Amino acid sequence: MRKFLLNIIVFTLVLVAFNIAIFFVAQLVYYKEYRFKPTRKFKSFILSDSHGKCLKNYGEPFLIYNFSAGSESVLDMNRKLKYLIANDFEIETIYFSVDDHILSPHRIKYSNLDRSIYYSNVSEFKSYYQYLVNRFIKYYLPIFHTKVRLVIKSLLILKVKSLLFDVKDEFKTKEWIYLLDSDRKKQALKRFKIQFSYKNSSEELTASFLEIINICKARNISLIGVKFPLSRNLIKVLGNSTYGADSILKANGFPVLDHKLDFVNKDEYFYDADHLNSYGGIVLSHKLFFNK
Amino acid sequence: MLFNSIDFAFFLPIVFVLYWFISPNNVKYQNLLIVIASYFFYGMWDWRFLFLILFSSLVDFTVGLALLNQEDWRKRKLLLWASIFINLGILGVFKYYNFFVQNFVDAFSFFGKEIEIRSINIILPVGISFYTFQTLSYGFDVYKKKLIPTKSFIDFSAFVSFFPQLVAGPIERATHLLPQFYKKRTFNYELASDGLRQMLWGFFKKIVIADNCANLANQIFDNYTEYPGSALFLGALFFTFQIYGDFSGYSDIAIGCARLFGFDLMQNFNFPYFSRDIAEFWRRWHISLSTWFRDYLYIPLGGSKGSLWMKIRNTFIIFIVSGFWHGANWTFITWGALNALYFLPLLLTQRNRINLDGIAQGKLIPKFKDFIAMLFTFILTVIAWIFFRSQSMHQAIEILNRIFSASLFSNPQLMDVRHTYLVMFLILVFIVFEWLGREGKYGFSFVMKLKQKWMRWVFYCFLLLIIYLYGYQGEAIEFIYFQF
Repeated sequence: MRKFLLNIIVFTLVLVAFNIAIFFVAQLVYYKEYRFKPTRKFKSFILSDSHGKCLKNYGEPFLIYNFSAGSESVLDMNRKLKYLIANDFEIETIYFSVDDHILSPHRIKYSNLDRSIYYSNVSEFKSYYQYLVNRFIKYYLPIFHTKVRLVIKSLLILKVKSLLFDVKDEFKTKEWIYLLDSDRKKQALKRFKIQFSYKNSSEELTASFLEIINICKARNISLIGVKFPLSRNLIKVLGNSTYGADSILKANGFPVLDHKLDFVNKDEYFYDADHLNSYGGIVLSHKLFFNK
Repeated sequence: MLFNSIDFAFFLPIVFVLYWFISPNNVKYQNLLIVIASYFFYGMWDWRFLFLILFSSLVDFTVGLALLNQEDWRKRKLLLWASIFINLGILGVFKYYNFFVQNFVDAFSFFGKEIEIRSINIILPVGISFYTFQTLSYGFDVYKKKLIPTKSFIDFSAFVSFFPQLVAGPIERATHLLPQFYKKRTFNYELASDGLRQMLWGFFKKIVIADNCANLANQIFDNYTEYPGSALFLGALFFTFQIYGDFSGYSDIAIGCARLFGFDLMQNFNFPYFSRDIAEFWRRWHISLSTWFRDYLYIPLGGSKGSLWMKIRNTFIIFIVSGFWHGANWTFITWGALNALYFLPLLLTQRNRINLDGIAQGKLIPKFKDFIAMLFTFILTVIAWIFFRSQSMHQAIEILNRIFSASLFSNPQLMDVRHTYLVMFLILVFIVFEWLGREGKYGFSFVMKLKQKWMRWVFYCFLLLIIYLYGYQGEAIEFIYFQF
């Protein structure tokens, strides 16, 4: 038994060391956007998916905290709002992304629910045990976390690729402005197909969105919808397609700041078909915050 | 609780420590701990299932005790029938009620008479067929006086609910497993470390092979109308490896896990895809169920003795019942009947026992004749799995129609070609490992032939890394056989 236990202990220690390494990589790569918490000085918050990331911290002088994260779903934003309320933030305004795709069922499939769990509380779960597993065990033992595993794998593949090929140049040419128009069209179409491959909006996301609206109404929080700018190519492909988050917000008496068409002839402001680059972000933040 | 879950990663070490350190010399406490742990393990699915397993255990324990003091054969028979009636009754209600009701209604409707019988919405308790057959074997063996019934309900409950093999086998015979609960268990280093090795291999089969294949097979089978014959054949191939990886993977984890607690479970799979004929395949596939049916159904029916008609009848009965055991659907029954058709020519020409030893014993490369026979048997099996996997007979026939058409030679037009190639590569690695280990009890046992310890560790680390990097990335998938 002693020999067996000794082997098990050695093996466990190796596993723990591996887990620690993965934990730090996961913190740097996977949980990057979730390592920050707003301080209580902030009164307004931007809740958005990756579209809101271009605004960086430009709103901070106006006490606006950018709580956006890539691949964020309405469910994740709902969690964040509840987190702010539960932690007694004095919320005056919420800038909420109401882009055409925001209620797409695609976002149920690819959301940040495993990351935004950081902002969740036990009431969301069937039991304390479920909360413990999802909130703490998967977080501190990322070797059990399937998404972290996927990220680590991708990183390793990228590392091997970069050793074998010149990957850097490949990335440079990805910037929107450097692409041929035919490639832009292709990318725009691909983006459209990902986000609008479903006939109807997601019931779950719509319900969560309505819950957010009701929370804001009940707490007298000013909810402002924001439609982020899209590139010319994507607007063309998109046509009238929308899952209608902006209409829901308007129907509930909240305003919508529609910047969708603002940069239609400004390809140099875009990183890709629907994301602004740093420069575009600065221009948009001026429009959003200085003209308040 | 799934083996491939975080829950189990915590559950197993805790039970292991309690088992060997709290009461290492007290069999009673160890058995009680096994019962508690097993009920907890099973209750994690749905605590209501516990009443069913408890009831089933109580029935057979009582029947066993009643048989102990009963010498009158008529009364003994009555007791045995009571056990069979109750066990199969539970199985019938939970698993087959809706199937019979639907077919009854359809039959009446066929003759122009519309009747209305309500189907009931019942959750199928996980692994019900497995523990029901295990308790039935106890009743049979006590009735035949092959086994002295236990007087300890704890020992009996531990036998019925032993968590490593509770939900998906191997279906243990009472004569083999129950006596192990009476004996004092001493920790055996070789047994335990071999158990861990077998568990590792089981996890590889499940998480890397079965779950990745499941992803592709599901995609193809669920959208079968959109794919040409070539893709559907690939889908059937992926399912062939999925079901093997899934089920034999579970068995490997179960057997390995039982070894950690000093128990020896029977081998359930013996490299079935290396079989050279269907008879050999059935001696190597789900051995615990095949031998169960052989001993408690086929032989009592007369087996392969008797007239030609008897042989044919018995073969069909055992295969069809085996198919029906898997699920209440005509697809399973057809799968069983198709295997009977494969098997029958071998039985009638008395060639069903020509391949008793393993293929290419002591050699690396098989004879060409053996290789062709193996390939032919494998293809027959792949075709049969199409029925097993399909949701309906219509789907299975449509898939076969497409496979046996010119589109078999067309471009498969799969969505994610890179991922498909990757899975194919992983299957190839899997086959190579299985081939190297085919003379042992499980594929990965070949590493024990390596003399240097560090070389063995290289293989362990390699397998762990593959599991980590190429294990299925979605949520943990339940084992297929849980539904049976």
